[in-house]
Amino acid sequence: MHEQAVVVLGLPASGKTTYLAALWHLLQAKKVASKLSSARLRAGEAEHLQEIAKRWLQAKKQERTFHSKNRIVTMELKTKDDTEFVLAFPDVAGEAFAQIWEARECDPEVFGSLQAQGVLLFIHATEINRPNWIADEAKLSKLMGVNRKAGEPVAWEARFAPTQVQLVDLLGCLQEPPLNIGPRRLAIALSAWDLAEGDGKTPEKYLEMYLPLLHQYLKHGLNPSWSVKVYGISAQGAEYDSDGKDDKPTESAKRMRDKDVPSERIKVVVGETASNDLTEPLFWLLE
Amino acid sequence: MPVVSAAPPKQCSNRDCRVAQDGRCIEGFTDLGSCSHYGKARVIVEVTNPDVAKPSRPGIRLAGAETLSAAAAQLILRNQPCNVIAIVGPHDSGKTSLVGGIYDLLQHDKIGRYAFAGSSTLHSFERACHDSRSASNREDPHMERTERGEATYFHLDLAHVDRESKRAALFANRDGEAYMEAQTNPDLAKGFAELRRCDTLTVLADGDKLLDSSERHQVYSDVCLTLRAFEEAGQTRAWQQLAVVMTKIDAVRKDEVNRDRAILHFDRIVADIRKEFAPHFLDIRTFQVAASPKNDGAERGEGMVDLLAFWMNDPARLKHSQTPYAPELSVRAFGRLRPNASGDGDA
Repeated sequence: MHEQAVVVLGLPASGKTTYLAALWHLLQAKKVASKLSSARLRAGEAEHLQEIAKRWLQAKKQERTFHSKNRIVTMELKTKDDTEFVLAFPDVAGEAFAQIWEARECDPEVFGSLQAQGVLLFIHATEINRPNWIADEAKLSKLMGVNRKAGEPVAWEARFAPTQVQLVDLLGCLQEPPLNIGPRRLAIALSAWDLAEGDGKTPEKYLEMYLPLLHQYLKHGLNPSWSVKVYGISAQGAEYDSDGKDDKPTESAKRMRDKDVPSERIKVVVGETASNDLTEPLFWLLE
Repeated sequence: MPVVSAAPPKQCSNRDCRVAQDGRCIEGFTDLGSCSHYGKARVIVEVTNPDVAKPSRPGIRLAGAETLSAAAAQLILRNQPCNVIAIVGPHDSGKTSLVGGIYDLLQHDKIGRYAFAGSSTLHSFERACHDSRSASNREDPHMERTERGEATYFHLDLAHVDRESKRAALFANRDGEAYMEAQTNPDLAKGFAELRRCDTLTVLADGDKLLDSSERHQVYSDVCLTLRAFEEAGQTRAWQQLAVVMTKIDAVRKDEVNRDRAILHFDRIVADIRKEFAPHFLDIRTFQVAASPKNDGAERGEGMVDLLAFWMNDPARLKHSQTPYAPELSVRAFGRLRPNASGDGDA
């Protein structure tokens, strides 16, 4: 059986592990139509997959993937024409990708997984660090008749950079030695899409509006041999419960638990069309 | 008073010896003092948990993201179409604001017909813009002073949305003092490689200083004498464009008393520049900009669209020069017939 690999990128807390948890459930439950299906239950890091899928079913937030626990998850999948393959899917902490931007170096383990031709880039649709300018804020404060608060100046650190700048740099690094492997397919997953779809925009329009620098780069700067597709992905369906002892169960998590078919919590949007098929971006990446 | 020496504590450096508990030496010495381990503290060796303490592995180095050296800029020049822009002005006249302002406008949208298509100096751009962003916690936008030393280059790839073509812009970054010192010693300018290589030489007139009667004449000197020094040092080229930019237009507009005088003074500077330097440049244009305004006298980035379009004009250094064909008349009568035979002669 041949092996296909997809690298999953994303800054910390961008929804990578939640996607993996929902994907594993969807493949095992087989309750909704999907372009890829599970060929066998056997999987690399099966315990980890079971654990995160369990939390997902309970509508509990995933624990952060810490740096020491980077894993390469493998799943045996098949297409509708019964072609079987093993999908290697690294569950890497977002900090490892933040390190590429901040320290200009790449963990050797992560380097290996970045050799995949298919790139699934996660961006949390509503947790975007956007640049805010003093001039604009001062103007707004004046209009509203309030004083703008300033304090002790803070020195620059790379981590302050806007999300779109860090992502442009990450994509730039994938096109330069030593990470350049030639043409790739890039699927951009705007995660937590349920929180963003109220804007009534397609995922691509949303990206253009909230991450304009990245959008310009994808259109004009990315190597023309790359193909790009933008997805809106809601792998949870709503806000899930936290584990903190003071955290109370949320109404939205209860609503999700009440669904008879958990896979129906999932929503994948491409352009104007929506489905429950989380394998859609993977299928496109492997085409 | 007799000196009493304290007895050594009942301890042993041998980790298996229990002399502290049962008083017996594991080596069999009845006289405990004869044992070489007795009385010494146990050396505690931290146990390494292989799951917790991982050997530190060096990461794989990736390309940097700081401003480029002249050699690194040269590589970009060789590999792709490129416009080089030199920005000249005294300290605090707004050189870094101008470059950072272009980058910050792209965070929002395209600038005119130019879209962002990449950069290899993102860390330096971010550092340059930090003090004009809220994350700096500052009350007013601020720009860091450029450190003394060799010129470095900010790099932006820009795509013209109508032509679907990508072109790099390299912005030379040198401290203002170095340029100003050339006024008294034009030979210094010979070391400024960015001047003779740039496609657009940009000189800044600080709008804030034009408002101040004690400073405005100094602005005149800074602009005109610096250009004269560059010209005397042979650092300008006839195919170069010259942009004369009044910065901090927000401050000028806000000062109702001195505003008109400042603008008039800027116009005078421009008139004198045209008079003296027009033959030395392909084109001379003026701009008024507010890259990082400190008040509501101007929009952030006002005037930058036109300035960027000027900077990104097709470089004239790449255009073919045309010399009219004028054949020399032959001294022999037969030779003089040739232009007529080939159709080059007068009808």
